[in-house]
Amino acid sequence: MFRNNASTIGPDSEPDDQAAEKYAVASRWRLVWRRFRNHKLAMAGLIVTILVYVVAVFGEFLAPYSTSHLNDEYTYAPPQRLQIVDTSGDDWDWGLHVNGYTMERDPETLAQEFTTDPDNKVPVGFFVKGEEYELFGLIPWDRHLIGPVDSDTPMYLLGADQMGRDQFSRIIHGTRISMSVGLVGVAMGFVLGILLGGISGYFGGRTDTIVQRAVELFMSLPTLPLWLGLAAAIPRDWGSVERYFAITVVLSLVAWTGLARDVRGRFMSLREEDFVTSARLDGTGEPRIIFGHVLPSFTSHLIATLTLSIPTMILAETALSFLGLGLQPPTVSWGVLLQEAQNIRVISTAPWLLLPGVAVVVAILALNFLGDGLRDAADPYKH
Amino acid sequence: MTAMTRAEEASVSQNSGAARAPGDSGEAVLTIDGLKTHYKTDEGVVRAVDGVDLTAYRGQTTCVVGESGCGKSVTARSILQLIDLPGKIADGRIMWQPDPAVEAVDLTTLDEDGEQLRRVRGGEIGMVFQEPMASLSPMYTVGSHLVETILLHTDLNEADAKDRAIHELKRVGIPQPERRFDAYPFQLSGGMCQRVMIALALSCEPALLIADEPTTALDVTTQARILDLLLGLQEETGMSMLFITHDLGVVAEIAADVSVMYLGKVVEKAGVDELFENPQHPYTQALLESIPSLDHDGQKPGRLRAISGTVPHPADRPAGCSFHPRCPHAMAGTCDAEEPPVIDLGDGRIAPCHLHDPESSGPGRPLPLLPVPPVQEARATGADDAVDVAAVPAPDLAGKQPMLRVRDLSVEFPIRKGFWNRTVGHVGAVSSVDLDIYPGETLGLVGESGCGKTTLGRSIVRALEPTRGSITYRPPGSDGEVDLAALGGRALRPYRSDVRMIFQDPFTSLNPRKTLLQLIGEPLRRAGARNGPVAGTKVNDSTTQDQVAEMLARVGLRPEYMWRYPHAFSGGQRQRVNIARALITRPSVVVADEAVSALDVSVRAQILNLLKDLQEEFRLTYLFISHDLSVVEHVCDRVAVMYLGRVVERADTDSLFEQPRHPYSEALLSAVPQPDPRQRGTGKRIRLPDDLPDPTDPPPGCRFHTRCRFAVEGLCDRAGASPVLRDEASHSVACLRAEEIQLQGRQ
Amino acid sequence: MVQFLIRRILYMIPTLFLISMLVFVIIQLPPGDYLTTVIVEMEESGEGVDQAQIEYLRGRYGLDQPIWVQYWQWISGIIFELDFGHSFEWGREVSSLVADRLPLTIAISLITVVFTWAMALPIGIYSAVKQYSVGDYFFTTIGFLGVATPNFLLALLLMWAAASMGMSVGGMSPAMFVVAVVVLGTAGTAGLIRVMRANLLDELKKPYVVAARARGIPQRKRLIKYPVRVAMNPFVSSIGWLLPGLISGEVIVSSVMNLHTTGPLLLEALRGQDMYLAGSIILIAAVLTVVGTLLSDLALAWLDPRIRIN
Repeated sequence: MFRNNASTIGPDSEPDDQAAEKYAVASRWRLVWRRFRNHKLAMAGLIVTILVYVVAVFGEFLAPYSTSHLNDEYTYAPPQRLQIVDTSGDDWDWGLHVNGYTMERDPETLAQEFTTDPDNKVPVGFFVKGEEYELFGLIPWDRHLIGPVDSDTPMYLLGADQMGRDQFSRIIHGTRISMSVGLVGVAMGFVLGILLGGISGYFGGRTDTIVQRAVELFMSLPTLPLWLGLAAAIPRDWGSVERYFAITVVLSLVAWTGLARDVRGRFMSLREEDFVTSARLDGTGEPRIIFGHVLPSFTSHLIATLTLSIPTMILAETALSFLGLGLQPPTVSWGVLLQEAQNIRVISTAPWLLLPGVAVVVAILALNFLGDGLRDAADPYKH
Repeated sequence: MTAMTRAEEASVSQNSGAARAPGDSGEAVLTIDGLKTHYKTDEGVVRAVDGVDLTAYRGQTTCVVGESGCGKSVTARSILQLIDLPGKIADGRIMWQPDPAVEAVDLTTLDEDGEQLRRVRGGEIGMVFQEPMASLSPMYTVGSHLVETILLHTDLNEADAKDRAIHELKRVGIPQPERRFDAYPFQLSGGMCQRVMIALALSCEPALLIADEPTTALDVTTQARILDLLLGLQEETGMSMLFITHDLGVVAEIAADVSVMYLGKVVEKAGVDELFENPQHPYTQALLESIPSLDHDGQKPGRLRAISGTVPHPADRPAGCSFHPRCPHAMAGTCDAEEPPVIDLGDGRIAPCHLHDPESSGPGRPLPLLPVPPVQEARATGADDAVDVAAVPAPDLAGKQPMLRVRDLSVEFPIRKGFWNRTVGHVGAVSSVDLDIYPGETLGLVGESGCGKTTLGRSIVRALEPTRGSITYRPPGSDGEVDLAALGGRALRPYRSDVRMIFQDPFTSLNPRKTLLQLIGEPLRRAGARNGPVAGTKVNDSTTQDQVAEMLARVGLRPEYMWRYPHAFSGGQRQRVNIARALITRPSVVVADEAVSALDVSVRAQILNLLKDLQEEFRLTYLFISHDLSVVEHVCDRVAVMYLGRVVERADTDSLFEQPRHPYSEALLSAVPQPDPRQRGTGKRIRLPDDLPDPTDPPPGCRFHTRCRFAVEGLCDRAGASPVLRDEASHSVACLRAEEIQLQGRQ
Repeated sequence: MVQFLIRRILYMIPTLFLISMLVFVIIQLPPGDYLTTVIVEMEESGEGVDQAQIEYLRGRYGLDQPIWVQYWQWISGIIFELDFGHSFEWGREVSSLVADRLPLTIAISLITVVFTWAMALPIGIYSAVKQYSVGDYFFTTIGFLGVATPNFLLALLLMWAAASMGMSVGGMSPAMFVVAVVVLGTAGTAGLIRVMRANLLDELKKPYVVAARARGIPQRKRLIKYPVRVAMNPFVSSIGWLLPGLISGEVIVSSVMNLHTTGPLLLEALRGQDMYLAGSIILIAAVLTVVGTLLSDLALAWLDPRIRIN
């Protein structure tokens, strides 16, 4: 009741108040941003989301190693701690480094056991030379943000997997697939949803009823078995790129329902709004009503809904891949990485194999916070 | 709280209890003293109630009146500590003394969840709210609400409580109380729900009833019956009443004392007759002047005396006297700097204003009347307007051709049901309506909510598809005619700019994403804007900008506002934008659908004046749809009364108001509260039963016969013999007994 | 009320029919059939493949028939004889395989629903009534985490925790049952808390709450009897989205925890193109969901007079 903005200007007041003037001519997106900015969690979500996508884009540069770099001497090597100062000697010895391993084989179980050796110092540097790669698939380069100065000595900041591959690098590389599955899947679901929702909302009547019943039918189905069934239908001999797209199609096929419903609902209610009727009475044609009045009125809501459906996609991809029905190695995604952590025995030996899960949780939390903030800010005119 | 301070308070309350109501010998049951209720928000502390003094006298009705946002509801709720966070009673005392023999208690000191306050709530003080339907839980029957309250505050057992509940329902005039006992709130009409709320509030015989805008959400006929009920019950039980309202007509009808509030403060306190006869605060004066009513000499004033500007948001209250920016008598250096002192004007009257302060303005200076704002000067603009801008005299209809001729117009809505949403029936919102609108006139369309007046208006501008009938339009200066109902799509476009509409809700009818330039300029871009530039013109075109700037100036907004978005404007200003948007295409007919209903009294007067000026300037023809009969009487030349989708009476305004010929019109007129306490109790009160028949299944014969006091069995309820509007030039009526019955008009 | 019930049951028939068709189409989607899988496996293990025998099997299982004939045989068997067909891989009747595992699946699902409601109701009420309190923030945080954590990850973490405390984590034990319920219920609980909190916050602002306060109704009664009663309704209808999610989660959690439910069976059947088995499990899950939704609609109509009467 008393939260509405205080800057309403009376007809007699001078527009001398600059803040009020700025508010008066602020467009919708500016108002949305003003609201969004005040939402601390949402801002944090936005920053983390941006960071995650930056990692996805610059993965090759940020990761010390490529996805296939392996060293089978170091099966399940534990994480090394990044240190700045070495106090093992008499002096304080400055310089970024990790401690190397000493390996022993347990005489009874024959399992390889690692201990970090404070005397074995592996110097670490920024912008070091390493494996060659092509940034964005275009620019050949061999520098990595962080890595051992001598590229032959291994470094496992987050430990190694069964084949001695660097978990840290692989999580970074997995970001790209995991985060883009969400985006692409949502984009496809969005197209389907907006098409059917729009058709349903626009034509109304019988068409609407049929589409609504179809949506209800889809919504009453347990999604995972459907996903599983569809994923199982993907031919096994498909390459990783085809498989990637097939999986996103499968994910979006099931996710469009919620979007369609949302789009339709908003469409229906906006069609009855006075300002839409008013535009119609100006003699505005239907296409312009839709693209000039109705659609712009819910783009901000739509963006929020889309943001909030990305996490579902990411979770689904992770689950499918974890079960072995989604993406397959050598493609690296967080779900594929988690496949390695299938049983308790492995987890007890190498708990760091669960770390891709942490990446999943962080990304999803960030997206949820961002989406919630967007949803709250989407209608800046409501008080 | 110590016994010591308690005693002190008691003595204070004794004193204030001794203070007499003006012209009456009551004693106080409730004394509010320096009440401050503040809301802590992100933007700072909002002082919604800021030092209110108020007294309710035993057995009397005290009215609190003010525009929206003045803090009257918050005051009422503070009494029972019904304020939610972030709101808080910051200061002040509320002394409650239902029994003169017992010491008064300060309600603000009681524990929110304590036994004592709970006993006061519902037991000693009953409360009725604005939205009756929403104030009852949809999960429980009417009876269980009542029984719960009765059991809570009395020692009755369950069975006795049920008897008592049924008795209460009967007392508030609910027919078949035994059956309604088991009804859910959503099965009852709004009026019935309000009766249930009153029964609930009175079930434990409280000493005071607080009624917070109890009739605002109801139709005028229902309002009249609820007011009758409250007055009757007050007489019967001798309870006191604190009545919150924004409607000065209601105040004149029921109040003994009145407190006028403005921005969280009481600006005037007086007995009802004194207040209406001789208002002492400029705000009260202005408020009274801005209600449309007959002048002192019985003449209809052409223009209302509007207060400039709008009520500011409580968060940015002006310094000094908070009314000074809108006050015509404001004295620079005094009113904008110092708060006016509270001076007793004798007889217990209070009107804090510097004009009454001998120090700043000399003793006993009488308040000058507000000047009527001058008619806005018509500026000649395009070549089109240069011809006859002279004021249109009252239209003489004889021999004139109507500009719009509506014939046999029906609008039906399908009722859909089931899995496949099949159409299972139709509601005839408008059925077989004939209506003529003549050039230059203002035709009023009145009726209760649900009578089809909005549907009719919307189908005339073709926002709705008529099911049957014709709407013949004759453009001014041409002999050609065109049936708008038969046109569709592109063929209709040229006429879209001739027949325009102003919407009710200033907040939903403007696209918030567009600047005023885009909003007002958009109709110009559409093909067929006869006097505007050709289609395809860009909104940012400088000619468009010029036209928009000029239009803004004409509706009283600054041209530079065209770069702003609607969110920067108040309701009244937005309504000006809506008017600009309707008029930019230079239409000949404008349908104003409840165009001033959402506005506060003072702003409403501004908009009514503006509409009047523009009608003269642009030679407009208005179809003015409103539920507010006093506004209709003020602005309309002729009036059509609608009931359940039919026009039942059509006449010149004076003729209709003085000598209505349809029993429904008579009842409507009789229900309108007059803003003049001297007229209280004059004339016969005609009250309609609350329930409107189901519009999906209208009664056979005359649709009004179920509520009509003149209905004759076998005549009025005969199917297939429904009365038709007999055309008798100036006054036609659709009543089978019109010849035999004597009806009463406005006094 | 009876009419309402009959109408709802009649609506179910076309829905179930469409679902069964959809399921069958999905099962048929993978190229080849069960026998192709067998052939591939046999070739991989170096065994010879007898074409004649394959053809014989194909005819015997009806795999050489057009798809609609196969569908009709399957669905008519289910409807008229409760015969869900034959599992190629297990060499057993699908009905006996499923009957073996279904009770545990249903038990876990039902207990999870109860757990979800039992957790979400009080927490939701608390969070709404004490909005912005420390407790509210605590539960909101837990809720966000609950939604963001994949349930198999949670299962792995809990099992790891249990294992490091020396518990046995293989197969079924009371402790593992609890873990399964907690893991399955977390996401739903988190979602429901948010729903309950938002609904109750809306209801608390309604005029009837102030009106009840003004009548002097005591605080606790005023809260439970008035707004909570209304906010409960979406709670009951939440089963509509709770159940599909639960059945999905059950598949994956049971596989991770190696529980003796239909989940791991479905996974294997899908991998091996054991179509009648897979199809039947998905169909049963869908039917259970639809029935659950129906029950919740009935409960809602019983609870809410607005639905019952209109």
